[in-house]
Amino acid sequence: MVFLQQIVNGLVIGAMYSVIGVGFTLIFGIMRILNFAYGEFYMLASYGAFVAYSALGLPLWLVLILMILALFGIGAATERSLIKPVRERSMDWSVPVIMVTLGLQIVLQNLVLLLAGGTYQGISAYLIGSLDLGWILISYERLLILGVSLGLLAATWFLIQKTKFGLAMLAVSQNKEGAILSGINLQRIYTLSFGLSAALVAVPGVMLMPLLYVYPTVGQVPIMKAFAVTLLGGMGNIQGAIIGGFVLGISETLASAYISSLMKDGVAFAFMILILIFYPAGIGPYLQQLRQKVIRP
Amino acid sequence: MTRRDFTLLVGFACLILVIPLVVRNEYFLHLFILAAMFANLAGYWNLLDGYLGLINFGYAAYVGIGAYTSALLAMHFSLPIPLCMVIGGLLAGIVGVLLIIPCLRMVTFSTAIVTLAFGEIARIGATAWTGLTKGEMGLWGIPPLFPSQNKLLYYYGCLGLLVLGALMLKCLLHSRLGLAVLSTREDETAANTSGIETNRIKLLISGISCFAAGVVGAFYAHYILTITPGLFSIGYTIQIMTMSMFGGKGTLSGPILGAFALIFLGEGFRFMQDYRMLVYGFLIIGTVMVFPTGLAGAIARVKQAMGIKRK
Amino acid sequence: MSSEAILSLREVSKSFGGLKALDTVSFDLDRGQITSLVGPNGSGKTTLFNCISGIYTPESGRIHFSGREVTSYSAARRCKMGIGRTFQVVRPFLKMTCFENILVGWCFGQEKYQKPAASDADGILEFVGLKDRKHHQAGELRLAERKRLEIARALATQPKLLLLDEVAAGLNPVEVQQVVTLLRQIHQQGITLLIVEHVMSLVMDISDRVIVLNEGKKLADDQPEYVSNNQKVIEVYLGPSELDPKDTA
Repeated sequence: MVFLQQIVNGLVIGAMYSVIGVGFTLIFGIMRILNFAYGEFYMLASYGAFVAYSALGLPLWLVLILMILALFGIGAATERSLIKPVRERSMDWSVPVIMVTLGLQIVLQNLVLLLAGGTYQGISAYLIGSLDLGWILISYERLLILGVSLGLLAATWFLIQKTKFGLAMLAVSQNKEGAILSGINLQRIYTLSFGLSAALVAVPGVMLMPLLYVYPTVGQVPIMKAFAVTLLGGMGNIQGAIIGGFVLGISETLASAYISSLMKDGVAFAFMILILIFYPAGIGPYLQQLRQKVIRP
Repeated sequence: MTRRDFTLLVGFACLILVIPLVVRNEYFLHLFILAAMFANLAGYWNLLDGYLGLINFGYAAYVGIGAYTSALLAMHFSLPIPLCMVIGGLLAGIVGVLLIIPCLRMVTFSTAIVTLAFGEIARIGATAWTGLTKGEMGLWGIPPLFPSQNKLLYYYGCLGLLVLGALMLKCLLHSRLGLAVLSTREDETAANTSGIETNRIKLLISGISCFAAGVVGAFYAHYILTITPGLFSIGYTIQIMTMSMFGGKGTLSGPILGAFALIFLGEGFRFMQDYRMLVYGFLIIGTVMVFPTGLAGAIARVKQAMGIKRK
Repeated sequence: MSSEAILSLREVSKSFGGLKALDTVSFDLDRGQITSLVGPNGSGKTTLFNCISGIYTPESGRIHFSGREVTSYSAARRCKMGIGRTFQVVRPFLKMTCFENILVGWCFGQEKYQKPAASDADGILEFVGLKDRKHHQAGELRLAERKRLEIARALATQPKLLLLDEVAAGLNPVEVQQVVTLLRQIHQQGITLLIVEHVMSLVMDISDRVIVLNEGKKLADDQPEYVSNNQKVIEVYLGPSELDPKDTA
């Protein structure tokens, strides 16, 4: 059944899109900024993964851990060195911070271009072989991607719902002043969240390396997906981003299979246009309404 | 305007007016023309962002729309070129307004994403619609604005547009409309309850800004005589934005200074061509973090310091 | 709706997510009255103001002003019709001068645009006592002065109804007295006032009528003396009590 196969493929890539979306929307919810350098964090993780896995021969699990830690550090450092000074300069810091991240994006992209050259690098796959379930064929690679994504989403959910840090993040995203009054260290939350956001996008950077390859401008792909998923799910809405990621993944795969493979990237843009016409606030509010109808029919 | 301001203005004007007459180097003139065009674009971008506070990350798309529309009209229908330019501008303006309509209900950041996405879609569209635009190959053989090859004509033409535009902006900002624009940026809700229809202001200013971008794009098309979909790319939007910021957001002279400065600094460091985007990135970060008032602000501070020293 | 009513609310409701901020609120305001809107924190007073001035659109119910239904009108249009308003957290245009602030109100808030004369702006500045701050930036003003500037900006729009949201909050007793005097002067010009206030002395002093809101519903609507002795109102502010209210007086 080709259709089922496509759905499964869509779920796999959708899981990664969800991760990408969650990292992006998280920072918007907490700091109310767009991080234009988000795609470049992905790109750095991809390069790091390529070097670590291909050149150094490190095992995948180690590469993942290293990249998560490295990007967490880079994200946190970015917040402290670039964003914090701009934030503290005036009350109206949202736009200047976006500009700074844009500047960072340009610098990172061109720096890597100059240092590493523009050639596409990559590996074919982390795992070879596939699982034959009769109706569908799923490669081990895809299973791995799905597993890692779901694990990461679960870990993030756990972090947000069950830890003090997650509670603090939630508080800041809902009511900044209230959070400060409750004794939450805003600076620390900002720095750690930014690091978390970068760490999150490092995982797709590593896992999708065989699929998207490694080159200086590869960051454009995740950032566009992040935009689309975030708009779909509602800015700052994490559950929306998770669902949005899957929706985008499945739609892209179906469009690619049944309409044309060139349409794949167009789907993200098409979604963005449709959303801004019909659901400017994303599907988030509708999710909430749905949930309420279920709880109180 | 103080006497010192006036002297400086005259000095700068002389520089940009007279040097091209004196230096007859073709390439140099070309740079001047580019600088004048970017000065226009940066100025109108600044109207939207610096004065109103509306960021349009797909700005280059309007330049492209104006360029292609004007070029195609001139090539296929042989209309007089100034008319084509105006129509190109109008189309760009209308598209700009239409795009902002759904953005009115949205948060600023959704607007940023949407305008960015539109820029990309426009670029992809221009590339893919090969029947109309000849895609990546580009459109060539565009009829020139001035029959003669004399670059000086183009330069003074563009400069004329710049002066006209600057004067218009100045009038606008000192009028009732200018007050409405500033109020909208200061505090939209308070502006609304004081009788300003902020949505209409946003649409109007977007229309003006995008119309101007389209006209400049059309001018470019009839100057360079070959255009490609690369015109729509976000790189140009970033250049325009950087020039406006570097020169001094929220001032009239800032974007003009920024445009001329960056074009000529870019040339002065010609060996840095490869590094150009990298430098722009650093400039953006540097401008935001270290001198947010840009060149114009720096000049103002220098003038102040000099004034104090004199006393 | 009586022919004297300048503002009329009918069954106005407004929810945010699951929270019902306003629940079928109805009342009429007569021309020339001073009415106070009171209630515990979170009872919906500012939401009600936002619905009247046009910042929010109610999800149900109707609002009439000066005989016309304005439920779907934009805030700017309502301002031009004659609804002026100040905000709980003062928001003058900080980067503009006092003069420019008033200019904005004058140029855009009136029903028909009148070219501003210097004397008009000066008159309003003098009326609120800010004449010597004319060319100072709003950001340089003290809180009490900023409040008066906001009132001035609203007055410049030639309002028929002025909504004042906690205009006495954060002021010392002397400044409160100054505000009371100003409000009386505004009232004398024939402007209807609807004020949200927590400072009870001001409410009792100045109001013809008091409306009490609690949890989005109208709880009481009467003259000040009767409302302050209303058992339900007392319970809402002080909590349920078994004591006879006359004993605690």
